Amino acid sequence: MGLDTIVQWTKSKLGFRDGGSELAVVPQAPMYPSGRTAQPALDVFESRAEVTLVLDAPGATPRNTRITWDGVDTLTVYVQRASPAPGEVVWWEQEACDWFRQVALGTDLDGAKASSTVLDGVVTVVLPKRGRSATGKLIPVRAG
Amino acid sequence: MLSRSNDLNHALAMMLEAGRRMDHVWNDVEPPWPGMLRSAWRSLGAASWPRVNLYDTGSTLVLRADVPGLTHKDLSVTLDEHRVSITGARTVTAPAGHTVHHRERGNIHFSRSLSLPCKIDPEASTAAVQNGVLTLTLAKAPEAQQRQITVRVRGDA
Repeated sequence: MGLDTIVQWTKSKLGFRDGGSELAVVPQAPMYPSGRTAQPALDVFESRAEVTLVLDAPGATPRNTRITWDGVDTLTVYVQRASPAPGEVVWWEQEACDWFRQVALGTDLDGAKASSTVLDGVVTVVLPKRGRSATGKLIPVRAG
Repeated sequence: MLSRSNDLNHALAMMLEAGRRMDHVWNDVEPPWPGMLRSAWRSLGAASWPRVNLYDTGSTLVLRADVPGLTHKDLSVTLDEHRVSITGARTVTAPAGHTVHHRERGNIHFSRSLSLPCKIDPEASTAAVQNGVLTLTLAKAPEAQQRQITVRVRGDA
């Protein structure tokens, strides 16, 4: 099984659609899902010019985080954080798993101009609104 | 010391995930009562934060806890020979000029204490936080470490 096959299988399992755009891609680090995922907690904020998403994803780094915009309205955040246990398990409250979250947003967002940062296990994605929404044209209403 | 099969691990993980989602319910739902009752309500949900895993490497115990958004300045770790305590806090604010649409990440103020399964040496132990994961490496006291005993044939010198 070649590397491309594994990557394609990974993308299909994660629901990545062809034609979408990846916001933070590290080609040298293909993502291999651990098979178990958990949903990171999410905040969504909006201003006149953009929508900001903030996710708690401890273990996230620029290298193991992949953020994808499907080209329409859906953002996918995947963090491959599962790591082997350093020793025998003594006490255990959280299973080793990856972070995965898919969010459907408005169609007035411009995913191609999105930006993202990862700091202290918190992923922040900023999606600017398209111009037509931010600076909408006022259509005068005239009397017939 | 606990040792579980993979299936049991998986079943337990599902139960813990259910508990985690219930924690969100506790955290997200604001009760109509003011003051102390509201604090008590929140503390029920925050009681098990952060999630902690503890591992035994032979010479050390390794504790890992997810603390997203917290740095070394926000955390305090106290050790004694049989116990570890972690306290910390984080405040979440909306970016300037933004309105809140959806909120799952709350302000956090936590304190957790765990009894350790063996005696440790606090002086030789270390703590580090990186990418929102706190890792404590707790050096076992010499008397708590496993010792290998050479088996000799009776009569050998």
